[in-house]
Amino acid sequence: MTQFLIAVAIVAVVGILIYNTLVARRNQCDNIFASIDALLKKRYNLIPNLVSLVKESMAYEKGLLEKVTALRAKAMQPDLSPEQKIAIADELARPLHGLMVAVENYPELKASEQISQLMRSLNEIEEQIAAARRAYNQAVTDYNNARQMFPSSLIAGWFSFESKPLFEIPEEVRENIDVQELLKR
Amino acid sequence: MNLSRSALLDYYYDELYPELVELEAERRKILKWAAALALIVALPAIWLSLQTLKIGSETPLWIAAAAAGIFGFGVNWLMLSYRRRFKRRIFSKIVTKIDPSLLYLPTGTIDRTLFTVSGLFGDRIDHFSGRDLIRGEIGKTPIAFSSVKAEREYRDARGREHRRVVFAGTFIVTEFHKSFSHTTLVVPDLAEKYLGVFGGWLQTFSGKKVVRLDHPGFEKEFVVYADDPVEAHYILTPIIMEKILALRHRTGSNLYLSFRLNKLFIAIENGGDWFEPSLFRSLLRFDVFRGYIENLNQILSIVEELNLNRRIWSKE
Repeated sequence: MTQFLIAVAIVAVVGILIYNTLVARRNQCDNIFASIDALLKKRYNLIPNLVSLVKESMAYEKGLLEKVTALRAKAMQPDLSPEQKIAIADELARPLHGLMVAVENYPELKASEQISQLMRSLNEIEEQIAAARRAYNQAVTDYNNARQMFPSSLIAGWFSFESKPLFEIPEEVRENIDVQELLKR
Repeated sequence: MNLSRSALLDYYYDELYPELVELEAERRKILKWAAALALIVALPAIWLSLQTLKIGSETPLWIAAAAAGIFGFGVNWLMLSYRRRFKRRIFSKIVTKIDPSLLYLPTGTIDRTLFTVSGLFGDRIDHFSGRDLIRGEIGKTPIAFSSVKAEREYRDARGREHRRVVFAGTFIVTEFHKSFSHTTLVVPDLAEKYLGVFGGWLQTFSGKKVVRLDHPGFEKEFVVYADDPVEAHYILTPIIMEKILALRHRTGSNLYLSFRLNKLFIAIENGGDWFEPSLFRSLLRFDVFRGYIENLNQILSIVEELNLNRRIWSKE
C-alpha cells in the first residue's frame, strides 16, 4: 500500500512539474507577443510624424503615403486578434520601407536632422520587431515541442494546451533598410 | 590597420632589426645563465634525493618540486629586464605602427571593477592582475584591452588554501553600437558540447535564464543567458552570431561575451601570453615577430568584424 502511495505521489509531482513547465512556456510566448505588440505600437506612433514631415516634399509619392496612413489606421483598431495584428504589420512593412527608400531621393529631406533622426528610430524599431519575432518563434517552438513530446503531451492534451502558430518572417522585415548605405547614395 | 607583408618586412628590417639583434644577444645570454642555474639547482637536488632515499622510504618528490620552483623563479628574474626591454622598445613601436592613435601601457591593466561588472566570472575575485594595456579608438568606437589573470581562493577537504585560475587571457572592453538596457551573456557551452541534449536540459537548472537562439552552429558552441529574450535576439542577429562563431574558430580559444551597461566585454581565454617574449624563440625569426602583429590585429579587427562602427540606429 505504502509503495502504491509513493508511486502515486511521484506521478503527481512529475505531473505538476510538467504542467508548470507548459504554463511557463505558454506565458513566455504571450510575454514576447506583448513585446511585439508594444514595438508595433511604437512604430505606428512614429508614422504620423514621418508622414507630416515628408508629405509637402513628396507630392509624387501620394499613393504610398495614403497607403501607409490607411494601414496605420487599420492597425490602431481595437480588438484585433494576434494573427490580424501581424498580418497588418506585414502588409504595412512593404509600403513603409518603400517610403523610407523614397525619402532618399529627396535631397532636402535627406539633409533634415529631424528626418534623419526619425529614420534612425524607425530602423531601430524595425530591427527590434524582427528580433522580437525571432524570439517569439523560438518560444513557440519550445512550447509546441513540449506540447507534442511524451509524456508532457498527455498533460497538454488533458488541460487543452492549444498549439500556437509560428509567424513567418517576411523578407522586408528580415532585411532592414541600411540607412547608412542609402545616405551614401 | 592591416599592413601588407612587404610593408611589414620593410618595417621589420629597416626600423626594428638593429634593436632586435641586441635583444637576441641578451636572450642568448639569459639562456646560458638559465642552463647554469639548472645545473646549480639540479646537482644538489639529485644529491639530496639520493641521501633521502638512503635514509628512509620517503619519496623525494618535494625536492624535485622545490628545485623546479627555484629554477622557475630564477629564470623569471633573469627574464625581467629582457621582457621590459622588449615591451618598451619593440612592442610599443609595433602598436604605434599599427595605429598611431593607440596608447600602450606595459604595466597597465583593465580595471578590476570592469572585469567584475561584466558578470562573466562571478562577483568574487580574490586575486587580480594584468599587464599590456592598450587603449584608443577604432573609428568611432572606443576600445581598451589587456592581459588579465583572475583567481579565486578555495579550501580543500583538509582545510588547506588553494588558488584556482578563473580566467587567464585577453580581456576587451568596447562599446556596442546598439542601445540595450538588460544583460546578455554569451559563454562557451561546455554542457551541450560534451553531453548533447542532456547537457542542454541540465542548463535549465543553472538558475539563470537560458535563451535559445535560431542558429544551430552558434547554439552548439555557446549558451546565452539573458534577462530579456527579445533584447538577446536584438543584439545577437544572425550576422553577429556568425561573426562571433568565426572569431571563436579564428582565435581557437574559449570566448566569453557580455553585453551589459551599454558596453561589450569580450574575454578570450588564451592564457594571457599573446604579447610576451619567449626565452626559447628568437625574435630574429620573422614568423615570431609576425605572430605578435597577428594577435594584435585579431583583437583590433573585432571592432570592424562586429560592425561596431556602424551607426544606423539612434545611438550616436
